[in-house]
Amino acid sequence: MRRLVALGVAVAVAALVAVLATRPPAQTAQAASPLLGQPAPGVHGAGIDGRSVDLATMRGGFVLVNFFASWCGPCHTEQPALIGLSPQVHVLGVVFQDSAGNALQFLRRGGANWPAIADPQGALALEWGVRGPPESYLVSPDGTVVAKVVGPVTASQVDYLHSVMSRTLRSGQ
Amino acid sequence: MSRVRGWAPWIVLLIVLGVGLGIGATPSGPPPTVDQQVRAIAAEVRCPSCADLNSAQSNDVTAVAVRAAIRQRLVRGQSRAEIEAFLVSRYGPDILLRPPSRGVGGLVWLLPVIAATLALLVAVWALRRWRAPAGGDPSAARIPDAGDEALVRRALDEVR
Repeated sequence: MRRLVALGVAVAVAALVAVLATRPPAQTAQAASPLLGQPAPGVHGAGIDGRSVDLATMRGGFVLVNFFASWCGPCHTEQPALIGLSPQVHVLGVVFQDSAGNALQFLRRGGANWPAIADPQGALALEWGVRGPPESYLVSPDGTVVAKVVGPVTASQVDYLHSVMSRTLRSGQ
Repeated sequence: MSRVRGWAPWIVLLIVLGVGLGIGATPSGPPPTVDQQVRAIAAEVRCPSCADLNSAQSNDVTAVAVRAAIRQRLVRGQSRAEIEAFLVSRYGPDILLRPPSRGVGGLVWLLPVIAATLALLVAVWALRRWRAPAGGDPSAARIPDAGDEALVRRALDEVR
């Protein structure tokens, strides 16, 4: 009887270890999101530089919707990689918990000239399921969310985004 | 008849418990205001950008946005379930502090019930075993028979 109980406990522990070991790590950069495969939520309004911003008008090419803030260290880190993504990908910035002035200064100082929109009430962050900057969502030419990157976009993330773009184009999305 | 009498206190206890739970679960007083509903729903939603706080407790922009979305949708006539479904469609199921009652999450609700039932069964079994030694009738064990007396006598002789 005791052996049976010990065997049962061992099997349960082994099953638990197997389940935990095969789960993706919490800090995975290529993150899962309920938005993947879904139509991208709308992003439109007056940009922080005065230009009008509308994600819907950017259809026809890949768009990376990038949530950022000037106070966010990793946002500084990823800026060269984001600049390197163009012209294949258009970047659309969404300011996360930051003033429009600081955000605009941050973009221009880093050499970025893509449009960005303020989100003072956090409504856009909520629509996109953002927890904290930087977070980026790749939107396909037909307006579907095809990838999510949590944390800074690095060289390996750029490779990942390129592979997603190739796959998306092959599947005709 | 005596068996039925033995169960009577338990049946009364169950009836009292059922009536008490029924009264406790029935809402009384005026219906909750929108503010109260927002607070109640937000208290069950994790603050998206802060650790260990719910969206009713935090004043982080993301928590404020969650409360605003809840209010907006309540005013539009959406139910609590619809609002929670929207939040899950953006953040995934872990945005809810209350685990879902379906799928793997349902185990969180089911396992304690199974464990409590098993514990109760084991306790009843152990109690009965303890009260009724092998031989069946527990009352018989209390009256020493001739064999017991002989055993005691032998033991006493050995001591002397």
